[in-house]
Amino acid sequence: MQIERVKRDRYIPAYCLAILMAAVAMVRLALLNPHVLFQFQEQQLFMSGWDFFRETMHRPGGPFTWAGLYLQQYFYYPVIGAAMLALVWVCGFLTSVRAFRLRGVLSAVAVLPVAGLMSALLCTGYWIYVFKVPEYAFTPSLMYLASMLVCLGLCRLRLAVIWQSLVCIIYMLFGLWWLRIAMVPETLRITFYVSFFSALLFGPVSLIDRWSLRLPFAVGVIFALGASLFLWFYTGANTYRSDAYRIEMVMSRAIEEGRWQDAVDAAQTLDTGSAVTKATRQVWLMRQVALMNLGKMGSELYAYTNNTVLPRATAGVKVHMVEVGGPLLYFMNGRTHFAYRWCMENMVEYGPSVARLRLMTMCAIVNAEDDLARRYLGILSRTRFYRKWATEQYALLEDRQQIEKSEPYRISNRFQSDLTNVTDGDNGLCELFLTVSYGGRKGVKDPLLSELCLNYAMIQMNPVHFWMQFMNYVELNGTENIPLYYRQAAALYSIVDPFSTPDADLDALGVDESLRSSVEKLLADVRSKAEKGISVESLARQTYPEYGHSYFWFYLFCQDNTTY
Amino acid sequence: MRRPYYIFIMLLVLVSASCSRGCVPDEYESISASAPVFPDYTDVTVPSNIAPLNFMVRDADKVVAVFSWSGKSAVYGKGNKVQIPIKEWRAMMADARGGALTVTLYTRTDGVWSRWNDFAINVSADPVDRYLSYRLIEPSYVSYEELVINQRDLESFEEKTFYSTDPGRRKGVDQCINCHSYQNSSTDNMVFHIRGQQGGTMLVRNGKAELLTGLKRDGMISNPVYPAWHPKDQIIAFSTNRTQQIFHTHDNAKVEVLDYESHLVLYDVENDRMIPVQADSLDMETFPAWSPDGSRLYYCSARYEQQNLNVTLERDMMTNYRDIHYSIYVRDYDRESRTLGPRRLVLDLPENSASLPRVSPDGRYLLFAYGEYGCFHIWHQDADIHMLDLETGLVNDMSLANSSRADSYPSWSGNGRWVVLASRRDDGNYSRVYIAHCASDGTVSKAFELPQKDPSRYDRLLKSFNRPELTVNELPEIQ
Repeated sequence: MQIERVKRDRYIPAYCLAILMAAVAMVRLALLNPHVLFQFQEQQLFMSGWDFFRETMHRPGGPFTWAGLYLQQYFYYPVIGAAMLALVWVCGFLTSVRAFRLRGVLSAVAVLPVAGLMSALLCTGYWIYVFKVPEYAFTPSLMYLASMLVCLGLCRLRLAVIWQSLVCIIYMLFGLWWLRIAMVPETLRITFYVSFFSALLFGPVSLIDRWSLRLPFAVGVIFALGASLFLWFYTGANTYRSDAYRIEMVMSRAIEEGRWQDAVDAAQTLDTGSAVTKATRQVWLMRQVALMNLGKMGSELYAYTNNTVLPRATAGVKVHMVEVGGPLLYFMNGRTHFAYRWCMENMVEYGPSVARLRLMTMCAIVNAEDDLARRYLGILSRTRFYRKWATEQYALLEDRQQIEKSEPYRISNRFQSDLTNVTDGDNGLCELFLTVSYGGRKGVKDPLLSELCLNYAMIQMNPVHFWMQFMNYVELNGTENIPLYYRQAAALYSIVDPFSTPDADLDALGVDESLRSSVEKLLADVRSKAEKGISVESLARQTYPEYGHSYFWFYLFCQDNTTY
Repeated sequence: MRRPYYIFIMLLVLVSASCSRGCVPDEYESISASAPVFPDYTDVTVPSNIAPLNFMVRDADKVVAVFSWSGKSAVYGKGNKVQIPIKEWRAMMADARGGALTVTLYTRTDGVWSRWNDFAINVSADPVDRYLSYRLIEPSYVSYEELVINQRDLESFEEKTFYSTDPGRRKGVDQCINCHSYQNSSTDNMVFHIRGQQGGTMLVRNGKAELLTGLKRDGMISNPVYPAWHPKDQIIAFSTNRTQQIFHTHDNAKVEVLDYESHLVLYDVENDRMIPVQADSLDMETFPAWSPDGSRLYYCSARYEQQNLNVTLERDMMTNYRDIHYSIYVRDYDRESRTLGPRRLVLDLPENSASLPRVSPDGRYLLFAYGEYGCFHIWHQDADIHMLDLETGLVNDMSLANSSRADSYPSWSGNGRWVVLASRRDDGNYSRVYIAHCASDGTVSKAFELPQKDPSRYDRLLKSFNRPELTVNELPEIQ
């Protein structure tokens, strides 16, 4: 009796560890990385019905894939999804502890598979957009839980440890097979190996159970605490970190929901107040979209850190904007056919997802392809969290006049009447296509589109295009209250390229002496310092406090911003 | 006490069984309109050996359909779908062969039953070839990932994958497959291309498969593309094409596929020899199709002269793609010398364009895809299938088979009584297979959509059925 009680009590460290494990999971996932969880559900598609179940059975992982996709959709609410996943891990952990009698200090070894699985979620980075295995988040964890349940079922057999070890070997082999057949990227497989291979330790470790019972109880508790710290730091070390990555996700969601100010505010968090930047081109362009919808492009676009960096790519991934936020940018800029195209290309490569289907629906609605929109809405109506959205879009199809007023369709729809068709390609470079096609566009009649074209000409830094767009903008929008940045650009180009400057009364347009003086002063300052051998980076830093939030600074120091 | 209980249970079972197929409502509103069934099987003509024409009514929560024929009737309906057991369907079709089924449809929406206009399903005495093969592919632009050539048994719903490019199955090998083509509707001799890694042309001869590589010979502008197997000889006519895709920025056609250059070649299978076909360098010749006796080769040809000499030919054609018009030509073929004679114009289309010609098995009619311009009509909403009567030179009316959206890829059944086409009429983007009856006088009936066991499959399937081809036998097993 006393011995049995001791044996039971030796599970207490495991129970403590289970609670700590759940806490680590909730903090790491729901508190620190909710955007990643939300993106996991964006990149997958789960439909209700037996037909989807039957089709999913043919995929690697079979029922685990179906169950994984089902649970993954609950990442729509990151806290709920994280709690579900944490529960799977805790159940897997406790099942393994009971199945293999990993009492006291031995329970620490059962943390390893969970550490591997949790890290696998946190280390994805930009892979999340280009997975060919959308069930990535839950399926391996469910496979682990199932294996441990089988082990638990075998624990009363003679020579149980041998049968259980066999199950662990099968789990490992099945896991390796799944990694290969589901085409999980090589760089992400390492954390899975930790999970798959560490399960092989359970059998041998369980053999020293009798020895571990002789250790003081407190040792087991200390090991449990140590294991949870290990979990915390191990997953932390494997977490992909990038502010721009996170903000891109936040902004994409805000833009798609028409929350323009939220998108601007999110971008603002990346502003360092110095020449050093954390923003990517995608962040910059999304900010432009949000400001356009707020009517503040000309007054606020350059009021932030103006240069950008390339995304911090996860190992093995080359980040292309057309695979990340490019399609949404195309849509918001009125290029619905190119938005649709890239959604389709990405769907072919990486599979259908709720995010792609939503955007394809939006494109079809704007393009007046109502039957096509209904096809996609029919699919989205079978999802748990997007059926309401689908119902709202159906209503737009019944009353197309609502599209003119609804976000986020309003502006994209408005631009359609002013766009003419040409045959072209973008070579996979979204920003370059927008910049070139809009910067040099002639004959624009819509005032807002003309403003957008003006902005792209300013990004292009092409004086000929700039003046064409500027004069067209003035003609369509009037000469009063021309926003600051357009006047700054006019002042700049009138000085750096006077031959392209039109013969117009720029003073009457607000391009006055004070602006020109600012340009000349900056140019003189930069020239003199450059002649002294000061580097471009230093010049950028030194001039940032006074000029950093101006088009002048953008022109001088952001010419090398690389698009992707 | 037990006896009434058992009787009650039996009655319950009987009632459940009788109503599991739907019960005809006693009260309903009569609506004088065509039944809103999907797929649209109203007043179609079908072969007697086709699988059940299962359908659904999307906006209804319950459907009951009464099928009547030869004094008999049967009731079906579960939820908003009508799915008929195959055995019962076959019996129905055997009885109704040469006649028609009459369908009375009742639908319930928001608790209210409605009865729609009755419609007929005409059952032709002409059977259709048992098998249909097609490629399943997204209506994509450049990317491809998992393409399959599937074979469907038209007498049932069985569908098998003949070849898949799934990288997971092929150990990461990246491939595209296209242009599956058969000799005389038989899979004993067939060909299809595999592009990309470990690619080539898969040739099946007398049921044995061989991957041919190195078919691009000196003087050819590309590997062989569109194939047509001679009906009698071991000769395959191919086109060679230098093709480019361009994308519309603002047109719902979305994609243009242009040939900058195309020529015809004959491939002597037994001797592994390519025989070039002489033609003017400005003429683009493509889409070969043999007459059933093998004495003539039909094809499409367009002549393009560069308009703006300040740019490249390719850029010029990209700008003026609407000025490229393909007409239909024919050359006589000498089986002894294996040579083609000079070309003759069959159908001149200076303002429009033809593609994918296919001659009927009796040699009388020529099907082709018809559009305003160009050669890749599946992306053109105005594209239709036309039928040229080769004896009279007149173009037959195929309005019942066509739609207001893209219709393309026509082909014939082995007996010449059925026409198969790929159509985007459902939503303008995703191609589906449609089959239409063609009488001996060239009259074409309303086309019906390839039936599925679950009609809602079409709603969720995000792939197009591409290049449908009927065959009389199954596709062989290949590695």
